[in-house]
Amino acid sequence: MLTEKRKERLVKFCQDLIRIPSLSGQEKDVAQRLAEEMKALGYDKVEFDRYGNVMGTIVLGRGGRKILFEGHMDHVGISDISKWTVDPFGAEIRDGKIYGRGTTDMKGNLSAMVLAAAFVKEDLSGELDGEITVAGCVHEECFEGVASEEIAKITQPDCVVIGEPSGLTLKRGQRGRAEVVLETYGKNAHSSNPSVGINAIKKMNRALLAIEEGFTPKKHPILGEGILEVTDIISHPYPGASVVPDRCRCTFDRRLLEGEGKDEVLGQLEELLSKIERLDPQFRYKVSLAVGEDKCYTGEPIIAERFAPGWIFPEDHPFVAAALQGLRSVGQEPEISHYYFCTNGSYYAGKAGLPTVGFGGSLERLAHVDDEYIEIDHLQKACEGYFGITRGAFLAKEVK
Amino acid sequence: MLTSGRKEELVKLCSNLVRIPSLSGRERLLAAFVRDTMLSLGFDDVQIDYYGSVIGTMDFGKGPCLLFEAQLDHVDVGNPFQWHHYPFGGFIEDGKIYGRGATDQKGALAAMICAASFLKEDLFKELCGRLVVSATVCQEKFEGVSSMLVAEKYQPDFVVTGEASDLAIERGQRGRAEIVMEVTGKQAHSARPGYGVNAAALMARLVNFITDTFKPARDSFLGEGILELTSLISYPENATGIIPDSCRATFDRRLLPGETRADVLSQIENLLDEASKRIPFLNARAWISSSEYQCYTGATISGEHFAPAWLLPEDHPFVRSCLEGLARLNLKPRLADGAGFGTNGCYYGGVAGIPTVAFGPSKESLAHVSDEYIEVEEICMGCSGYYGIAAQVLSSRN
Repeated sequence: MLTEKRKERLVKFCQDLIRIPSLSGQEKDVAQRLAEEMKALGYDKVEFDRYGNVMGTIVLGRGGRKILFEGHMDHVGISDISKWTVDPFGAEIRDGKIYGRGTTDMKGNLSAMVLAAAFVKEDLSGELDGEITVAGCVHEECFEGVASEEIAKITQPDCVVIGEPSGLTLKRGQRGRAEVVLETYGKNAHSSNPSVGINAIKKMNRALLAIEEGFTPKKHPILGEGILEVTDIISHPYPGASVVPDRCRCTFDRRLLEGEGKDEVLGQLEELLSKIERLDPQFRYKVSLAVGEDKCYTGEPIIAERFAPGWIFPEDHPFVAAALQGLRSVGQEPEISHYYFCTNGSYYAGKAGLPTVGFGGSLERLAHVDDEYIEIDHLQKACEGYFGITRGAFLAKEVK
Repeated sequence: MLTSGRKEELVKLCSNLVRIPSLSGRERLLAAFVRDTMLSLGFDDVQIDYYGSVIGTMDFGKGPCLLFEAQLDHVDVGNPFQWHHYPFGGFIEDGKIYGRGATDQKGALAAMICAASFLKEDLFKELCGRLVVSATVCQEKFEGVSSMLVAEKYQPDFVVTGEASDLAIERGQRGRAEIVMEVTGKQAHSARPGYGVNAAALMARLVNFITDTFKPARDSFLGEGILELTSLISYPENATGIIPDSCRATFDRRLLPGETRADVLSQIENLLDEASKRIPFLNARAWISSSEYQCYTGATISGEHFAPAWLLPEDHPFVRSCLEGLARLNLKPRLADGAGFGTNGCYYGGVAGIPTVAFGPSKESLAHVSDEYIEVEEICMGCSGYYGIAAQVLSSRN
């Protein structure tokens, strides 16, 4: 399927995307480049939405299913340029690897998706009925699944492929992620006369100990534990000058198992804390989800509670089976596994209940690192894989 | 002495001082206002020093130098929703002037400035020496660093600091040390916390251990050498997706007479040793904090946060003079039966060994609280008190 000419085009397109920096909220240029490539490849429709997501659609035959390939266009920043031995936006090729920020996470796989859909049209247009949409999504790094909701509304897919790096294994689930904020309240007083005030940090410590003792994470045989981990703590006013602090805020990273909802996550903590409340009438607190707020390059605000649910499909789910069948048709024999991190799949599978799998070249652990790279071999196999998954999904009896 | 016209002048000055916000390092506008006020009220000399403190002198000729000191800065407002009054309104309601700094210490400053002016009008010929009123910057940030400059330049023989003392003479104050404790952990992705050591979680245990274990020493007069937690923060700040590898807690430690820097540190280190026997993976250290701060003049003020305690005997001549001064103005001559919260006298009394007392209107429990206020009646009595003390100490009959 992948001729030398196609391989060359894939590598060149991937390099082009890497050379266009696209931090979250600054994806405009890379989105334009994707749209241009889609038009040049003969996509039937290319459109943008209010967040700046780009969606290109290819129609094969009549009727049939709609499959959505989704990859995010944004990448994390460069924290310390001195630790890089290559230009992060140079897309330099060395030893069969393309180097640069976003190669693994995940412009490499995004470029493979854009081309794979076009190759399906060129090679299989008489044989298949259905619609393939490839979407480049904005703001994934901090808002998993938020911009995806808009993509799903517009494209109405029957099944979804997330292109996050999977080491060419087939992913059928992931833990979700919530950012939970606990605030305790006290009363200001001069710190030399603390008995007239209420120290919010002491209340927080009591809460943290109660949580540490009382919180038992649920376990899932595949996904692991729904852990709750402190990631940030600060008292107010900070720094305090001779003042007993009247507020203390603690942020937790809560990893979510399939089916764990907001009310349950917050309720668990409230239950533990209400025990303290009964013993200590001065104990006042609030548990809530952190709210993220940012701007898209279109000017549209993106605001959301930090809550991306977990999801998992059984190994014998029709879409997992169809994707596996499709991958086998291009000579791959992937393991079936799950992602360790959180992806846009939290929206498609976790919120919208759409059949979803993850597949992509390169390894999860190569994301967000210095000297990020993708092996050209992986890039090519990802492209072949998307080709195969499309065929598998269109030929399967059912995917739901 | 305090006619109704003078009372009005005093209250108006206090309201005006409250209306000009003056956070530490941002006292510029208030300093200018105080300078102009002093000049208009007949001070013989008004200087603004390197750090920005405003120092006015009433010169009565040869004789001792008495220094009145009050701070120019105030602590932040905190949560404005806990206030029912505008924090910089300075409005009078039910005989109280409301606003941040009213008790700590703008009321006292207004009373000192007016007392000096009234003294000059009433008793110019009966006094000797100099009365210096210093409105000192950055007192909430540093114990005594800006006072040191005032002391060096004016060489006072006696000092009264304007801490809210409920109009009693405080003959000593606890000192203060700011102690920082740092717990070090190991960073890891928060999805995989088992690979790291969460410094914030360890800190919660450490702080609980310290709160339960620390037993403050007691001085029968000054009270307890408490250790109170004032700040907590984890690093990296605002982290998501990562467990914190460092967490810092700051404590306010009040000192009793005789407690040295070395005593304070070794006590804390012993506590940390005990804690690390009980808390697995604990890696903690502690030190006395130091900091640098930019004054509004552009000068950098820096130092370690350590100020020793001081205590004058009950029968010290200066203490007796102060009490006599209060009696002169028909105020109840009263010694405080303990120490207040302040540390403003710690440089003069604790480091420089100058006879020092604290005396001021209002109650210490009204400092640093929401809806801070000072009673009009208190300011008036405070003004009379300062007047009486100065009249006694600087009397040419001495």
